[in-house]
Amino acid sequence: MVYYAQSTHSAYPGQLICPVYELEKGTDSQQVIRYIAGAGVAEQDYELNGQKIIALAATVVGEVKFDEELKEMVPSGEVAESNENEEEETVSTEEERHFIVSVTDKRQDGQAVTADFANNLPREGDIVLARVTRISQQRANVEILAVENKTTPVDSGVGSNGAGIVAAGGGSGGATFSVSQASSDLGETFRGLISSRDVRATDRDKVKIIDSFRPGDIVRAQVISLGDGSNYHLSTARNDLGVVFAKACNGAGGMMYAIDWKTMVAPSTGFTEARKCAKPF
Amino acid sequence: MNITDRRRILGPSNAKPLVFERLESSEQAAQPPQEKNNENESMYIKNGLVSNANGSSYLELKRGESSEQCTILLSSVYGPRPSRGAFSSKASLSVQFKEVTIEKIPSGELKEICNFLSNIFSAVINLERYPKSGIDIFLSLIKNPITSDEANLEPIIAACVNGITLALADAGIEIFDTVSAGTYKRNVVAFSKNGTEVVGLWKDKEDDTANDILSVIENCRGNYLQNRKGIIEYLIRSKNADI
Amino acid sequence: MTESLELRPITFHPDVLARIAPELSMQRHLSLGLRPSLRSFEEFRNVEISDGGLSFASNADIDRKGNNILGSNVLKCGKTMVVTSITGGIVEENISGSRVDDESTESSNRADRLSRFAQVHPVVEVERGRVGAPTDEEMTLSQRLRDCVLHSGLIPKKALDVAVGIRSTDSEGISSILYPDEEENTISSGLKSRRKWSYVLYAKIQVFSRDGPLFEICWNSLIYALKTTQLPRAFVDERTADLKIPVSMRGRSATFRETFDIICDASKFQPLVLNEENVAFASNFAIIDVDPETELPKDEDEMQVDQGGSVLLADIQGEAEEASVFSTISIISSDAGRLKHFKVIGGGLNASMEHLKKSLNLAKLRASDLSAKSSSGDR
Repeated sequence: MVYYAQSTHSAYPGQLICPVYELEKGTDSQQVIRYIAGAGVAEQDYELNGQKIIALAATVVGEVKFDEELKEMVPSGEVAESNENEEEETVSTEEERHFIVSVTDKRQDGQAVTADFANNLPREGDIVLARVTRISQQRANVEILAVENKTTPVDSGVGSNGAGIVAAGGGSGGATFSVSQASSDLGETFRGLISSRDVRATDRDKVKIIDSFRPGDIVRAQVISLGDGSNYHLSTARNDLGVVFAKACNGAGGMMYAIDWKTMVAPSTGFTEARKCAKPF
Repeated sequence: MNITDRRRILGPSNAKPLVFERLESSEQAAQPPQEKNNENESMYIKNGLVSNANGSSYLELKRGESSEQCTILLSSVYGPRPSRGAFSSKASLSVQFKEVTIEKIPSGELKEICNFLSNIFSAVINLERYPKSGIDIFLSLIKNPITSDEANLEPIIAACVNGITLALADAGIEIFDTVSAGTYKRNVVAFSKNGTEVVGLWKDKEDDTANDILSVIENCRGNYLQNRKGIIEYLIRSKNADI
Repeated sequence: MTESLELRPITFHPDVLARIAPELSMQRHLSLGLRPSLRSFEEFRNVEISDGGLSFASNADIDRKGNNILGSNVLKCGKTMVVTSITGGIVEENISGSRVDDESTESSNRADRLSRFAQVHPVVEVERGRVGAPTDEEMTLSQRLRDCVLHSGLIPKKALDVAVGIRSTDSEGISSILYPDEEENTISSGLKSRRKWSYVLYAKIQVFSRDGPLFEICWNSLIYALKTTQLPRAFVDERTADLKIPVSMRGRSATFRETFDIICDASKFQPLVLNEENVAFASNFAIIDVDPETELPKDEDEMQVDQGGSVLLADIQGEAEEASVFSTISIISSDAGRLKHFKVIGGGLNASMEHLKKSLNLAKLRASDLSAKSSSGDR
């Protein structure tokens, strides 16, 4: 019996899913299958017939899912086909196969926006949407409102050529969001700060925060470190990062749209304001 | 209570609480439920009632036929949300217990309950998963069946353990096991891993089963398995129903 | 937009937009003729009520010991749940020698109108996952509720007077309680004139799932709870009645008066008498400007919203509405249209006469709907 080939089933916290290692015996070969704990799964020690084993157990309510972790040499075309049926046929090598076991809530699967902020806390490298709360000469303080979950990796070098870049925001369908429901009036949102040196990639020393962000702006930024006890450290030094949503005259005017990477215009009045904009296209 | 609370409307200071006449019948009435404690106990579960919490559970426990012998507990989980202060790679956990309607449990006991519960769940929640954050659990006891003056806390504590587990599951916070508790006489034992591990044990002082811990655990386990079954059945059913 | 430059706004998923720009999301909804809660403009949320079986009087057979809740209500309005429990106390009133308990002198004094009405002492707690001192919202809510109950004249002071009975034990050890209003023989006339007690009502209001302004919901729940409130009969024991102990100490003489222990009868109670015509229910409204700039490009077959510029929304709900609304109307009205409380905040927007009229009508309709609920809830 191989665990990864089992049909999906529901799991509850503490339910055993599979051992960490498994030996799959084929007709002429055998191979080791390694199961790695993914989201909603944790390794736990269990005692079975007086023998200690490490097993994977679910930690949330949801559906069990096995995703094969493919090696780098696998051509990218096959990446999409991590279907269980396909794998059975291609099994012939003796090397280890890795499966990431995860338990996810079906209700939130395939939805563009989830409220599951809890299990998607900002981590290093994540793209977040944040609102600027205050600015000073050195930094902009923000509160994190939403985390983009599945971002296709964007390399800033490639991005500057216009190829392979993801449109900021969920419009492209390339990203899903976890929206933090915490209200900001009680100080329950996660805070972050963008240092003036992290606003843009070039001319870092000449950045003026006042020409980049204003309080109330919504900024798309990347988490560069978990920071200290109270603040995440964020950066907008990429083409697809920066202000995505702003209102003119510090919020008194209408909505503004980016016309280039450092100017936004309010169509109703025609006034422009300086911002470090995210590339919308 | 001598210090004037200027944030709440307290009413006249010379007001006296209502003192009810003691009824002779009440002493006898309080006794029988203790004997057939765990029998025909029914549990009603509903998750997600508190919309501004990350997860919540509503637990209604009924003993026997009468609808009056009913415990209603609302547990809500807030978090993970940012914790102030020094950086920590783990989440911190806090448990608050409050009686919404009748206030009877002395505050010292309340504190003990909260400590007991947060010890259990510190071991159960995957705290490493939530750096820099705090998870706060709020328990609101809406209805408490005990009518005798001395508060019988054990069923409440067991309900709290079950309620918190459900609320955590509703919040999608990672927990290592579906922890539940069982009561026997005046003891509460919380188990995990299908009853093979004890994660918490509450013993009342005036209990006569002092020397017989093992049999207490054994008796609680039966009750635990029953509770756990109910919780898991609810979780699976509600998950499939909502799709 | 006449510019040649094509402006391409960044698009967001509706839920994300609601989080990052609640006002904009609100305006977009309004331009479609809907509200973020998907209710129509003048639609109220449904309200479910029950007494929750919490109060001691709700169950005739319950062992009442230890339960001091006199009245209760559990109100669900949308997702919001309010649990109100009314408890009581007894306070001895000071009757100064000069003031006689005379009705005619009191009612003739118009300025003294308020002294004829009683208040409740509410404590509102809004559960939002924090511990510590009450928030500003909780404090203002409690104060407003207290003021409104007092000024609406809902509870006549007389309703809270304790008609103290006397328990006498006869020679066989059987005790019987005599109440002044039940027995024609005026047994306690001597006692009554000297000392006077009245009930004090406390209301504990616990709110779960806060989702919008709370005053109206709390008020309605409080009214329902007061309607179910039963006051226990109270008595003093004959032996302790009117005890005077003259003492002389170092030449000075003093009289200690025994404080009576008023005991409540756990088996007899009577409903709290409210001024029925003053029973009123609350509803709130918002006035919001529809900003033409934020509207989405209109389709041909789109629903036409009246282009009056501002619209009236009933029953404010949700973060988006609360955040983008600055002009609110709060009304407490009885089903007959008697206004008990009217509060308009015209933040930036003038509440037009038309809106005010409309809101008054809606408040009246809402009140009759809510009061019908309470009577059908009575068993």
